[in-house]
Amino acid sequence: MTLRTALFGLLAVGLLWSGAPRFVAADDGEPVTPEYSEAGADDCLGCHQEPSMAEFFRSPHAAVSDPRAPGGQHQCESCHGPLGAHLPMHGDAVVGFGTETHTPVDEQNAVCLGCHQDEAAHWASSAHASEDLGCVSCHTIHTQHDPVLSLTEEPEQCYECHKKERGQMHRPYAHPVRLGKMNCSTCHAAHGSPADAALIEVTLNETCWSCHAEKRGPFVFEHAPASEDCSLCHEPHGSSHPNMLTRTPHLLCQQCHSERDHPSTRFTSTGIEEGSRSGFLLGRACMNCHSNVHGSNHPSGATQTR
Amino acid sequence: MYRSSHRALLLTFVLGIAPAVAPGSEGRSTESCELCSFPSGWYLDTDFGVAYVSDDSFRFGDYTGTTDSGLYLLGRVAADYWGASGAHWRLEGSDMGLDARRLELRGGLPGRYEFRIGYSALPHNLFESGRTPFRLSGDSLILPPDWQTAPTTTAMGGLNASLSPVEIRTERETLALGLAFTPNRHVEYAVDYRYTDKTGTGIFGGSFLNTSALLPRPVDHRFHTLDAKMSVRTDSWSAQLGYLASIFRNDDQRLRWDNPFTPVLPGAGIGQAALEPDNEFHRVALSGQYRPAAATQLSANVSLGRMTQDDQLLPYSTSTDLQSPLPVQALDAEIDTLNADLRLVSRLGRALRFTASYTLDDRDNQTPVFEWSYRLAETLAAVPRTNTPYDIERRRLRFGADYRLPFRAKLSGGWKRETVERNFSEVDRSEQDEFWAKLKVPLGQRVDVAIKYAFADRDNDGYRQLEGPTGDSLTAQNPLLRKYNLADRERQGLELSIFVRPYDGVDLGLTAETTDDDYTDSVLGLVSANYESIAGDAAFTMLRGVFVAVHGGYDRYRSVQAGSQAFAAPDWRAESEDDSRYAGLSLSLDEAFERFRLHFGYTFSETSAAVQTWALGSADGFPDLTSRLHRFEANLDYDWRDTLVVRLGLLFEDYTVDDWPLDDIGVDGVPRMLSLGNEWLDHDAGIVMLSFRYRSRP
Repeated sequence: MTLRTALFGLLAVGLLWSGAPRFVAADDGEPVTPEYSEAGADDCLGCHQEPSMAEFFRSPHAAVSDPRAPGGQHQCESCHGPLGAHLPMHGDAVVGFGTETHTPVDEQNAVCLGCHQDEAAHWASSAHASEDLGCVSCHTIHTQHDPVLSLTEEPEQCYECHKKERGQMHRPYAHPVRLGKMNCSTCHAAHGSPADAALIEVTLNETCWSCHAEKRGPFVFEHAPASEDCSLCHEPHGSSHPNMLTRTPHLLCQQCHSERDHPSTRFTSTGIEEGSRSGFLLGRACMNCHSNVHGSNHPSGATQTR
Repeated sequence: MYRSSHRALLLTFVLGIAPAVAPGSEGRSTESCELCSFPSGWYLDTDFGVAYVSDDSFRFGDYTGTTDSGLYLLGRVAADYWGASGAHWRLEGSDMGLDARRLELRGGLPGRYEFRIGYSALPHNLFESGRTPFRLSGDSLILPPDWQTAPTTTAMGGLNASLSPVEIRTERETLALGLAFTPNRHVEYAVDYRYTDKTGTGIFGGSFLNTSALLPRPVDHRFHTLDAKMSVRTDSWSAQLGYLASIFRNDDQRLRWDNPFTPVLPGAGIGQAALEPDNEFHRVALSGQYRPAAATQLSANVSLGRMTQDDQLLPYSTSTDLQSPLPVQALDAEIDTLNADLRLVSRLGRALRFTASYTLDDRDNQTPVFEWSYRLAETLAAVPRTNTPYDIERRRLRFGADYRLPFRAKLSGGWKRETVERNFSEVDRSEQDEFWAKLKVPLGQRVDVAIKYAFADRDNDGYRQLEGPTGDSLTAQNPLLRKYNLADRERQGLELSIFVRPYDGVDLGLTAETTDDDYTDSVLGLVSANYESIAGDAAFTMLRGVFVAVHGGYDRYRSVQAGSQAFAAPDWRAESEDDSRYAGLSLSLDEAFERFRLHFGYTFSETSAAVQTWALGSADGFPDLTSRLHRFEANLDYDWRDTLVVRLGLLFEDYTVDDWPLDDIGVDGVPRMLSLGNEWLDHDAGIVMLSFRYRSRP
């Protein structure tokens, strides 16, 4: 309760501060407002005749019917600013995108977020924003086909920074990202989210259950870690162990289980030798018996064997 | 007027009625744009051809559909239609000759309405090498009529003669529908519906005390997901109202099986387990963002959800002689969820930015508690148990700030407190404080270096023994055990990243990190863990149209745990180490040869997992679990005509795996476990592809 009070107090202070006059634009002199072109895109295309411009008109941004898209607004100038700003008197103040431009990344992003407000919802507090990523760090704009929106091509973009995840996805037990059947945004919201690790759902388990709803329950006999956090036992980016378990199962289970009638046991390699093979080690190890490990709905399922 | 407009929008949002805001009033007609080359009519980009798969391989066909050797049809299509009014429709399909196919039609009038319908199939192959004496009859796995039970698998005389092959595989087929309607630039409605049918065969371990049989269980799952959203946005605020329904249906509520072993007690001849019960989840979510100033954003999200499950319960035992009345016929389980998040982000000037957030995830389990007179292995009357519907409340408070220093340098830091409260748990309340700091320094114009350090300390309010069922001390946990997700822990992490662009067209990147976990109060259970990784890549645009990329990395995860066979102080210790390394090369020659383009790719990945144990001075080790993958890909494209490209493609995989829990066990290799004899198989398999790509002229 104390934390909540402190937080709300802090938020209130922050709001008041942010609304203070010093953050409101207050130009004393007459601002010089660059003007939009009268001819619209024709004025731009008169000079900018790069072959890639033809592709732009296939892109969603060119849609004339969409009042939210540049095509339905000021066309090129919707994103790059009024043509008047491009004239020498304004020092060529056209808005550029990418790293080879004078436009600060915040201003670049502000242009995109001005329309993409749904994506902007959590952008400001996202890890990508704090890393000063620009929208065009990942997105390709003047094209119908933005690779980062592709199921198969998106991961390459993510791996540029998230390098170790590329290797994890090649482990023998992993979601089929390397095969192009899932991508990073199947689970992660690159533009930020309320959840940890920018997951697409509000919690990690809800994210997993969006495909594995059969494990949601509720069950008569729950298994506490399965109800709380799937990643306590699973490594979703890929593992050396079947079922993407974080460790070999007979050790994983014994990190939490050591009952008097079923104490933690030091299994040795003797248990895998012919003649003395152990069902505690081989096959599915503990899950040879405790199969309903995500929860059992059987009235005799207290130990997840039914 | 401004306020009225906002109120109208807010009212609209609440009532779900579109406001009459003039669409696109700021826009300008492009009808007179002479240089705008808007597409019209049809545009087709499609590949059709054949592929030959060299070898049968279940693993090679996992998620891809190329399981059997032989010829396959290749098919990919991307067809666009642009209408005069601006309408755009696109038909997109891939892998249409394989079991892992996708097809989607979407389109509409952008910014007004959009429609989507799609189908996809995804096979998941696990084991083809399984064999079983069981045959599925209804919801029962039955043994041959002449089956002779025995105390061990090796004594099952007729076993080999009764085995039939069984494939462990599932397939997901998904139908997706979507509709979005945008009456004006401020409001959008969207509905997505997804139906997934997952069918096939899985594995279930059916046990009777000290014996077990791995059973080929049927999988007949159906998933319905409905996601409806309404968004309202203005220049200074936006809000979304959403409803999510997730409905799971299982055609198989139970699995019965004949006990292949000699029953240790009367009544243990047939086993029965509950399979995943039908369940539903419904959630309403409201979120909003408010920007009181250009540099400040306040956002809030609240979700209220309810999970329910009310399947009819199975009896305690399959033996009619051993029945006890159930406390209820259906559990009527219900869990209410509340997820709330409040965030403030503000930039003070150009240099300082701070964030504050508070997140609450509450799982309030309303499921009633009953005493269950359950039976072990269908026969033994055990001490009654009560179910433990878990409540979990997780609260997170975060503050962070970053400050831009001169020369593009940046200093960041933050603090996070996470508090978790649970019931039916050894720890009622745990609290973790995490501090982190990061410095990002550019070294000149071509080098960026970042280093981050984090420290987290998790403490609980006391670890206590859970009270077991009355009169049942046998199920009590060793009091020295500390479950690792509840135990006190100190975690330190260090990350380093370097990005270098020595020349234009050359990019080098390196990241390294290490994390140390010390479970400070754990005597039994996980004691310590360490993770280390290093990964790097380089990309070269060497000449016009020549692109080379290499990448590689190594990581290692080590953990130490202790156990007690004597149910007392630690008398054994185990250390596990998982290593993985990978490397890859990609070469593209797009313009080096007239009319020809070449792409070549190679990926190598290797993993190993080792376990060592110690007890009373004796050491022992298990064989390593290993896997090794070599994958080559090459494509040669020839521009036959302006609109036609011929592609010759090669793909080859060499995969080897050693997995001692499964390798060479056979069906009867473990005396008290009747296995499926399934194991991961190596493969050398390749595909040769010849296809024609047709692209109509723009």
